Amino acid sequence: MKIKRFFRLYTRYIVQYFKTVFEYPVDTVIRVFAMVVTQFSGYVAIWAMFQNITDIAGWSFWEVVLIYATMSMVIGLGELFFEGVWSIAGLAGTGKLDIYLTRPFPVLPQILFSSVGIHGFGNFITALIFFIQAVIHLSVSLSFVQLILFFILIVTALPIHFSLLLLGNSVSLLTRQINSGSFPTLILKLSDFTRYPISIYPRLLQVVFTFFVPYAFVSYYPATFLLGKGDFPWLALLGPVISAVFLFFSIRIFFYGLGKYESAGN
Amino acid sequence: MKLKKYLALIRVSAQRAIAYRMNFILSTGITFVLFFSSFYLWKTIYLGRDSIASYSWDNMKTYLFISFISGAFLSWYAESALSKKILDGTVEMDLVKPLSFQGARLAESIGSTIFEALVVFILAIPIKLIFDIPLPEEALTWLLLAVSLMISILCKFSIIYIFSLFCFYTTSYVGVSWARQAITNLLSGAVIPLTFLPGPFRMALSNLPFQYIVDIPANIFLGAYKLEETVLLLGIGALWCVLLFALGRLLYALSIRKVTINGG
Repeated sequence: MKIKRFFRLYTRYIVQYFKTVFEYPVDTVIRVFAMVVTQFSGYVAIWAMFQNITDIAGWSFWEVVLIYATMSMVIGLGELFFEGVWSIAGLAGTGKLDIYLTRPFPVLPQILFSSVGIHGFGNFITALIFFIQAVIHLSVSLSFVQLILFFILIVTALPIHFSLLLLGNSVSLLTRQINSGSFPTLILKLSDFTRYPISIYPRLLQVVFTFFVPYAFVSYYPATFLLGKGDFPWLALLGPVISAVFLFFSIRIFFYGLGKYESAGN
Repeated sequence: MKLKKYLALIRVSAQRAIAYRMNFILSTGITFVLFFSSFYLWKTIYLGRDSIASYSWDNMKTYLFISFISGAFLSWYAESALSKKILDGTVEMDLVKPLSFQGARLAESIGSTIFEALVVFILAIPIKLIFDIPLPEEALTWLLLAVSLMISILCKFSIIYIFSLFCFYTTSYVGVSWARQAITNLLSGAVIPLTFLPGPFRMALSNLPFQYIVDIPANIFLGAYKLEETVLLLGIGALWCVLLFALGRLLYALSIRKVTINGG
């Protein structure tokens, strides 16, 4: 019953949102196109690099593309499904969070449903095309079980991305600064590291991206699992555990921050 | 007389930058992330190779260093302040002010750049020491670098300004801003030195203004050009600044017609 209501409301929110999408078609086109351009520029840079070299620490062009595309797919999905987290600072700063708090529906889903980063389509589709290209060029032979496992790894990687964004944005609830978009952006930018094989970084950074800002579980470890490369390909299977831990703590911290929220008076 | 108004804007904007210093420091941090990740990426690439596309690893380190400095200027404030004005409609307040919209925004950007320069300067010293970045010793090279960085900032401002005008047609600047960053980072040589690109691309880019943001200042600093060449390049760069500024002015005049002001 509860889940049914959840989905019914989600559909309602999305339908409302898509009305605005079609209200400003130029805006939508520009935003989707902008992401396609952004994605392409990344692959062009990798391609230009490989004009001068044959491999980066044993990783070939298509292998690097595979990692880059996996990261981008998850970022794209994140933009589509939880773009709302970026509004936390603004909602708290202006006191508009009151509206969400008084409605008979959990706060967090309301925040998440409040917007869809339609440009995520541009990111996701472009990345998916490059991902498929990479898989074809690398002629990865996968068993059915491996394919299912890889799919599970990517799906469970989504909460990692979500948790990090939620953590970054919840900071504004604690600092009470309306203008703190830079901090979550900084966290998101850390994902740039894991667009490349993390084996190129010093050990310390590898540990950081495995356990503390575990973006490596979004791109590098699933890719090593798929290719059977890297030092610890089976570490990928730790992903769902890390994911659950981060999801739990980020939600706890969000609610801790929410407890500090004082509205904005009348 | 007229200049005084703009000087006031520079001062106010510098003060605002100090007030929101945390955001500036964090956004310099974002630029640093790019430096840090590409540093290790290139370090790995250079393992077992003496030089790639005529760059030695030492050259590359200096290049990345200049790329970081250039990237830290006009990073966060210029884009967000400019686009917010257009998006939330406060641009109407500027229409009634006896100032050029573009000139006022330039003045504000210069103000925040002064503070950014301070942050960059403080960060540059430990970065130089930690990453062991070789720097030239001649005073003239440093002077030429300073001039080329000024051109870089003016060029970047105009490009940001032109892209911000998209906000007259969109409801959000995030996408446009990311695309702008991706395009300028790639075409200016911030992601990969332009010498690494295949011939035809390099030729095409040498006719565009983007290279004056990172690639040319970095190469001047590396002593890649003779003095006459450098002066000529800086001249062309300055010309590009004027051209882009004029283009921004023209596009603004066209876009401002989109504005509808309700009530008063």
